[in-house]
Amino acid sequence: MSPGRTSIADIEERLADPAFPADPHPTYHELRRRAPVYWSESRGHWLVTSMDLVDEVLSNPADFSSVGFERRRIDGLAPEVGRHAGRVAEHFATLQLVSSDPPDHTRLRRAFGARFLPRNVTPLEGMIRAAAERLLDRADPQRPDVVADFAEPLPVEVISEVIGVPDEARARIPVVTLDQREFFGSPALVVDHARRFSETLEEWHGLLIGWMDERRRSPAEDVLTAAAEMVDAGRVTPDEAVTTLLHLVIAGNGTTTALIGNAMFHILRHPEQARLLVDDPRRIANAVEEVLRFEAPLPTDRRIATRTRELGGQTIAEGDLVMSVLAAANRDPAHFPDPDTFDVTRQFRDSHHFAFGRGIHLCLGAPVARLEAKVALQTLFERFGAARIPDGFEPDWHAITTHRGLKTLPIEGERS
Amino acid sequence: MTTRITVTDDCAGTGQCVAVAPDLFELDADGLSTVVAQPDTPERLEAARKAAGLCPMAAIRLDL
Repeated sequence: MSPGRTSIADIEERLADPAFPADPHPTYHELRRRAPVYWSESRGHWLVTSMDLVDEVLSNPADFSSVGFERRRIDGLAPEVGRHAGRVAEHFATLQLVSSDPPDHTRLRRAFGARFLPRNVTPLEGMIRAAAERLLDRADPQRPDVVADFAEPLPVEVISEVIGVPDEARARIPVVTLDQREFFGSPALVVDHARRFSETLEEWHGLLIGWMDERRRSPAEDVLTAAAEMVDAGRVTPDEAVTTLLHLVIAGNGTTTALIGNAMFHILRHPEQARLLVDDPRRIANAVEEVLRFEAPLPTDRRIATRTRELGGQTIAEGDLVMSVLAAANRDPAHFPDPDTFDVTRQFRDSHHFAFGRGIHLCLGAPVARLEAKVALQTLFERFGAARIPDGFEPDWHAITTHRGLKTLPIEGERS
Repeated sequence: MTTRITVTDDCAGTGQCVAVAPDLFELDADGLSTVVAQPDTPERLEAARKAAGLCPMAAIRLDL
């Protein structure tokens, strides 16, 4: 162990505690105070927990690259597992938006960005609202589960409309989403995971190629049509189109599920704040920002150092994996007063949260996610008022540090 | 010589420039960034550089 890469015993213990993913913030606060750039020997990567230093990492793609993380995960698999991950290796060998650096990143972002311009996102509101209403019509009117009945299916419907995924394939979206999350987020990967994800990727590649061909014959106002045009214009390769399309499908649903669930959980735990939003729905947009700050669905963002350099008094070596903890940056007391207090009226004038990332990789779908969460909350409050969470409910968080969301959230409507 | 900043047609309205350089950029009615002042101090020039580096679309040009 070289100087500057000194792990701290009690921090390592806390990070390894099975209870850590459910309640990470005491540890993140401790880290930010004692070692805001921290080498975790057990994790094999750096953790960056202050907002200014996370900003430094994510604002410098030349020093901190987005390329190579997936490759490293695949190469690091035990041989008996890796043998079953052939399609996964192929899939992630192709550049895609999230795992590229400039100039390729700029090219891909421009190719896929048009569908997410404000003028193209605003008109989605009616479609989102109709989908939300339909789901609530089907849900248990007495005691719906916000996650299972609403927050899981809604983003699948919305991202399918945006991308152009036909009805009959929509049930496959949660499958590939979960497969990918497990593949990259599970500390111990087993043969079954690898094989399943490989097969699911194979299936999706076939589907996406077929749908792009259909769009060439009958274009629609969706990302599939744009992707086919970009391929035909020579701006992106067919493989880049497929991998980026699939990334958008995956990124567009599990995260938004978590956002809606996290929002209802924290808002309903503060009945006076719930009342404020029910009485004045114009406040919901700001409440969504506070939920994003307080409980970011994607708590971390990964980079690989392209050169040896100093960061926050530590020496990062070329090739080191650097995890920016967005969830910790969002609770940095230097930027957010009383960071552990959930307050839907919080003013974001001077500091902006990093829940959608920072810099060139800022979430492409952020405008859709914001609109979707706003409409979801509006619809839920219209239907159930300032609902309550049943007594004795214990939050069951997905036990993974790369995703923050509830498994279930039953509510009892005040109007039911 | 002052540096001149422009926002190109590639702007997608992510708003990061407005967040780090609110003196220089604003979002217009279409939600896209527009330059409201040129960087006339070293601090503002630094903010303009920061904004250009954060832009996902590489839509901010700095011309000497």
